[in-house]
This record gives sequence, structure tokens and C-alpha cells, in this order.
Amino acid sequence: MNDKIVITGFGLVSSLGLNTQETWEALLSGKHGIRPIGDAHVRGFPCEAAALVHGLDPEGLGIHPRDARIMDKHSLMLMKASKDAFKHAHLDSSSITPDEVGFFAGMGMVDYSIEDLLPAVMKSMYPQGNPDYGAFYSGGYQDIYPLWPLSMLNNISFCQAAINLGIKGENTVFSPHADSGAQAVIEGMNTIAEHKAMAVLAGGVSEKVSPLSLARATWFGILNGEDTLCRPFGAGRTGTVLGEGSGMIILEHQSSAKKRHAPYYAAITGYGCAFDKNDAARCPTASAESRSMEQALAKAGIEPFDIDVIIAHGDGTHMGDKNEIEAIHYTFNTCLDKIHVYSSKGSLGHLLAGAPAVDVILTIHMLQHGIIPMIPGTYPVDPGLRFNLVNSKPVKASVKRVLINATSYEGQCVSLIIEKAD
Amino acid sequence: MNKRKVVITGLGMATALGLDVEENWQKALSGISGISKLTYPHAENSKVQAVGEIKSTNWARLQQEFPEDAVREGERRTLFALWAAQQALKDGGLVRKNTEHRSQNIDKKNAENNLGSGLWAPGSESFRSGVILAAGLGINRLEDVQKWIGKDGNFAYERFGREHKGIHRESIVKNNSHRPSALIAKRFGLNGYNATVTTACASASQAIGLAFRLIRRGDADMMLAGGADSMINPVGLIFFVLLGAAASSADSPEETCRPFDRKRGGLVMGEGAGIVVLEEEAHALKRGAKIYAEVAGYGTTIDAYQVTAPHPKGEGAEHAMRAALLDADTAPGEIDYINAHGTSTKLNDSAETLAIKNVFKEHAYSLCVNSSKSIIGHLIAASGGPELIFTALSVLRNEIHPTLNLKNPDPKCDLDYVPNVKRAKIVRSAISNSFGFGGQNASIIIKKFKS
Repeated sequence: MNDKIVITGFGLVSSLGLNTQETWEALLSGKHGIRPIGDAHVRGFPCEAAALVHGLDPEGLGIHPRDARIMDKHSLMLMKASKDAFKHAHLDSSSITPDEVGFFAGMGMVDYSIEDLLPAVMKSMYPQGNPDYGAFYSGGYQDIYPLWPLSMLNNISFCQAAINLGIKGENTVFSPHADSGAQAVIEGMNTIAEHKAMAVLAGGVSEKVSPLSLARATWFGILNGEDTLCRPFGAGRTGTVLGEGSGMIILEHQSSAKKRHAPYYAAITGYGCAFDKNDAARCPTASAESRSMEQALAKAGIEPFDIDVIIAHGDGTHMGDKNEIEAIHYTFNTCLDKIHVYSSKGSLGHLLAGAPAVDVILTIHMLQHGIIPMIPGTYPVDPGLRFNLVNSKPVKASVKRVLINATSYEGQCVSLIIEKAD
Repeated sequence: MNKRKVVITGLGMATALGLDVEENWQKALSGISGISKLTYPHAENSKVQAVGEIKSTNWARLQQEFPEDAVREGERRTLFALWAAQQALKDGGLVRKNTEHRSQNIDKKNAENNLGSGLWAPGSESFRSGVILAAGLGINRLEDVQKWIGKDGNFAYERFGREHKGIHRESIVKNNSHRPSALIAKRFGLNGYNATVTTACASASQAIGLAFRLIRRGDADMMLAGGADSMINPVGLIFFVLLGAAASSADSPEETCRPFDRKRGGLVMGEGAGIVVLEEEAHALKRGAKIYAEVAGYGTTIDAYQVTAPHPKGEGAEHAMRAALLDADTAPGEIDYINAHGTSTKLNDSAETLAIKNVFKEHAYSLCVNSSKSIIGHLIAASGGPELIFTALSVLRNEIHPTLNLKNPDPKCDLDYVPNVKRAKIVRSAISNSFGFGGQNASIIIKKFKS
């Protein structure tokens, strides 16, 4: 019963660095990774900024060119974070068998790249420019690379990472929003708790920022079209900014970590899930968010005042932040002055399914170093807000327990509780 | 500590055979095929001509059933999902009569008091109920690219950025995979765990397996689980042709899908949905629910072999079945029937047969094994949904539907596949298998219910 589930390794890729250390240091110095997109193919959208990941190449990750052809950027980010987490936890074939390793990830929508379809579409048009399906079905489609269909399945990059790391155990892929990355952590945790695996790789990866992903987010009405920054809980916030990145963690029983003399960095002790949404809204209701946080507290067996830091979903959308503020006010009513609230999206952009595990890794650093990074873009703060938002400079604090929120634009809210593990 | 038992208390489905579970079951038993000639517009030249389409009259009925969603939602699969969910809830006695044809606004007062719209039977708790659904690919249409090709023959990216709202409503740009499970949760007031699984053809079985585990471990009392999918669209129609996995057409469409037959030539796509109500045993008994069967175990593995082909010896499949048996605390000898993944591809059917033989040894030859895909086609991400429903009905009623078109025995496939004619057999326990492209495998064990 007291055998806690602990984190024994992690890997992180973000716009601020291709590893955890670089990202953490940049966050502490108040940097953000949001820049004009600067890609000739991503133009004309109201939102022209994103926090992109740079410098990942298949060769550097030891990926065979044959495999690389069906691996887009999200695959590389997942591969990099997963390999780093494995290495960090000192897991290899000598310490564990493939059947004993589980794998759970939250992943985004996978979009076609226009270049992949363009030659086939060009061959399948009437001279007037409208589609000629007859030509498409009878041969035009052959201009599409035969393995292209695999690259459209978001479990393929997942399976490629499994092949690379030799993982054969319990698994699933959730999609596409932030809740999915948190659910991956929850299912990983329960897989350990039920002794279905000795170790689990869990976390998530963002979508690649592309014309289609940007079009989807714009269509959804969540993107910031008036400003080049993401300002979580800001007074004049006008929307979120997409980010790229991935966070992956290794989960084990504390006893198992001790047995193999592996260091562990934190324990996951609680989680909660609740769903509700108002019709036109792109976020859960405040009551669903409260419910999710309260479930997580109950599961961890703690009270609201036991929480030191909340890493909010805080995506900088008007309604999403408003509901989250209301939920935090409600649930933490008795201890608002004690709680520090942070959101990583002001620095890293919105990593969707990649966000929760990245927040778990940032939590580990807060627990270790007793410092909370600042949200760079949020000034002034929402006047209705009654908790300590860490927005002007990093705050030193004794951090023992952190609550993380992750929500879906479709109305699901998930909360996780991470604690110091002695 | 005794584990909580999980039972199936409601079934809902939509396939080429029809929109009603009993109709599906009777037709499947009689060996009536849902596979017919493709009617999708402008696709006369498509290599794929045999499909398990939802009949146009049934599609019209779904549009009438959900008029607001039919107008607002872009994807066919969303209506399939809503229908199957509604049928499963009705079948489980969980939808109040006055709310059957109306959406969210009915129970506004209740909604305000209880967050959810409160459509569940009195006494159930909306936060202890949730939804896990499978989702497949988004829809890509040629027009979505063609519309922005400039006079110079290049794609006009900037113009696309400015005009992207003009993209077709079916397009992946205007949809997301979490939509159906969220719509269902909202409509029926299921305010707990809500998730979407995207593991290709293993998705629906994983969704059901996860929902089962969620109830067993105490995180929920009731879950809707399953999936809805359709790949009958232009890029979907060439998807498996490019991968070399689509069946080349036989003389008659209904004979194209021939799992375990020596002359099998690939998969035949179906479309539709299959969703079940899973419920904790005491919760179900307390409200006097009818119980179809018990979900006893779930196991899932990864081949970690190749993303382009299943493990030739079916290693991942073998381990998934073993893991499910272990999870269910069930001996291989207690299994009487396997609803196979049985895709009718060369590689799957022989590897799956080998995996079954490796798990069950001699007992493999006394098992009945069949493929629902021979009747309704391959529902891709949703396939595990209707297949689990057929599995549960076999366990309940001791009847097993046939595998159609099995005429030429394959020496590599030498089990009892219930060829062409249904079988009466006492089924104590059964397994439903689903294996996804990429190498993810899921097995679920269904047991006869004994309180």
C-alpha cells in the first residue's frame, strides 16, 4: 500500500532546448521560445507566432533513413524524449525485459503535409482545375509514397519508439489534447500499481506546427491573433500560441527503484478526471475543473492547503483561464494566499498532448531546487485573480506538493498530484 | 482484496448489416454478408470496390435522429458514434424516455444542480461514469489541396492561410479525434473519465479494455466504451491499396473478404460503430440491469518488430492473449471461442493462427475461431466494438456466427474457423482479438456471467 509510484527518469524537448537542463535554465532566466514562425509555408494566418523546436535530425537520433521517411517532426520529438528518459533511468536490456516495460503516450492529430499529396492531386485534375477522381483512383494516387499512409497514423511514431527502445508491454495512445497526455500518465501509473509492468514510459508529444495544425487551431478559435505572446491569466489575454515539444517520464514502484539502486525524483500520488463543457466553449466548465482537482486531492489523501504550487493548464484563452481561475478560487478558497500558480505555456507555447508530462518534469525541478520559474508574458494580471501568480520573477519557495491541470478543448479536465519522494 | 467485477449491460451498434444489435446478430448468424459494391460517388475507378457501407437509408435515418449534429458535425463517424452510444444506453435502461430525441437543453435545472445533464437513471452518479472511444484517421479530400493550387502549379500557402476556413467541413482541419466521445459525454451527462484512443485497428479493443480496468480499479462505476470509424472517402479508399493490404476484388463483392482462406487477398473496409455499457457488478445488480456477460480480463502488447508487418510468428498477439488470460485469472482450457482479428490478409491470418496454437497448444483445435470481418468488413479503429458485441452474444447464447467465404483450406490456417455455417456450442469464456497496424495488440476475455 505504501509502495509509492515514483519517477526514475525523464526526457524533455522544447523550443527552449533539446534537453531538460537547457529548458529549465532558460525558464529560470525568464526566456520564452515564442517567435515569428518564419516558414514560407506557414503564412496568412492571423497568428504568426509559435514556439518551435529546432535542431532535431533523424541521423542524430540514430534513425535509419528508410524509417525517417515516414517520420515527421512529432515522431522525432517523441523519439528524442523517450530515448533520453530511458537513458536517464538507466533502463536497458540488462536491467529489464521488454515484456515488463509499458508505454503510454498522448499524441496530437497527424496532418498530411501538402507536398505529400500535391503531385497526386496535380495528376488528378481536369484542365479547368476541378478534381478528376477517375484519374485519381486509376493511377493518380500512385504519386503518393506507398508508406505515406503509415505516417498518417499517430500510433506509428509510437511503435517506432517502441521498436527503438525494445518495449513490448502494456500500452496505449490517447489523443489529441492536453488531457490525453495526463491520461497517459494515469494509465502508466495504474499499470505499475496493478503490477502489469515493472517500468512504464509515459508522457506525450505536441503536434508539429504546420499549415494544417495552425488552420485547425485557428478554426477552433483558440489562437492569439492580436498579439505575439501567450499571456496566461493576463488581464488582456487574447488566446494561446502553439508550441512544439515532448515530455516523457519513467514510472516505477519505489521498491523497484530502490532494488536496482536507481535514483527517483518524485512520486505521483493522485489524479482526477472530470468532464463538462458549455456548448460553444473551448474548455471545461469551472465546476468540472474543481471536481477534477478535488478528486486528485482525495486520491492523494491530502487537503487543499497541502498543495504548494499549481501548474495550471493556463493556456491564455479568455474563457479557459477564466474558468480555471474560478475553479482554483473555489477549491483552494481557504488557502489562496499560500498557493503559487504557474503556467508553462507563456514560455513554451501550448504543447497540447505534450504539455502535462513536460509540466511533471518541471515539477521535479521545482521540488529539487525550491524555485518556481516565472510566466514571461503575463502583465498585468487578470484583476479578478486572488492567488499568487508567478509572473514577475522566479519565486523561491519550499515546494513539496504540486498539482498539475490539463484540459481538452472538448471539455475534459485531468489533474495530477506530484510529491517529493523521500 | 477482491477485485470488482465488470459486466456488460448495454449494446449499441451500426454496421452495413443495420442499425440494430439484434438485426446484426441474426444476420451474422445466418451468414448474410454486409459487404456490397461501393456506392461512394465518383469512385467507379477505385481499386477498392467491395466495402461494408452503412446503407443510404440507414444513413438518412441517422441524420433524422440527430438533426443538429448532422448539420454541425463534419464526420460520418460522429453520427455512428452518437447512435451506437444512444442504443447502448437505451438497451441498458439508462436513458430516460422523454430525453431520447432531444439534446442538452431538456434537463437544464438538473444540469445546473448536478453539472451533468442528468440523463442517467436516478441513483447513478455522473462523475462515476465516463466514455472511452476509439478514433481513426481524419478525412483528407483532394479538394482540400486542389482548391489552393495556383496558376503556376504551386500550392498557394499564403492564400490557404487567409482562406483556410473555406476547407471542407469533413476535413481533418475542422475536426478532431476527441469530438465524438465529448459529444456523447455532453449529451448523456457522463461527467467522469473521457478519453480517445488512437492505436489504429487495436483502438476500440484498447478503449474497452481500459474502461474495464478503470471500473475494476474503482475509478468509475459505469463506462461507455467502443469506437466509430469510416475510411470510405477518397484518401481512405487508396490508403490500404498503397500499403498493399486491400483485397483485390472478387467477382462478387460479398465474396471478397475471405479470412483464413488460402485465396484470401487482403482486407475489406467496413464502417460503423460498436459501443457497450460496462458496469460494476453490484451497481448493475442493484438497479436490476440485464447482464449480457462479464468482462474478465484485458491484455495488450507491442510487437516491437516492424511498423510495416505483424510479427511473422504472431509473438505480440500470443503475448496479448496470455496477458489477458493472466489478467482474467483464466486457464486456456476454459476458453471455448475466439473472435479473431482475422483481417483476410496473408500475414495476419497465418500469424494469428500460429499465436493461437502457441497459447492453447492441443486445445487450439477444439476452439471455435471466427472472423466478424468476413461479414461486416474491417471497421478499422472501431473494429473491436462490434466484434466484442458479437463475442458477448456468443457467450450469452451459445451460438457462434460463421466465417464467410472459407472454401479453400490453407495448410497454415488449420483451426476450426466455423466455415460458412453458424455453430451451436456452449461458450464458457471467449477472447476477442484486435491487432493494430504498427504492432499494437489487444485481447479481451468475456465470461459467462454468474453472480
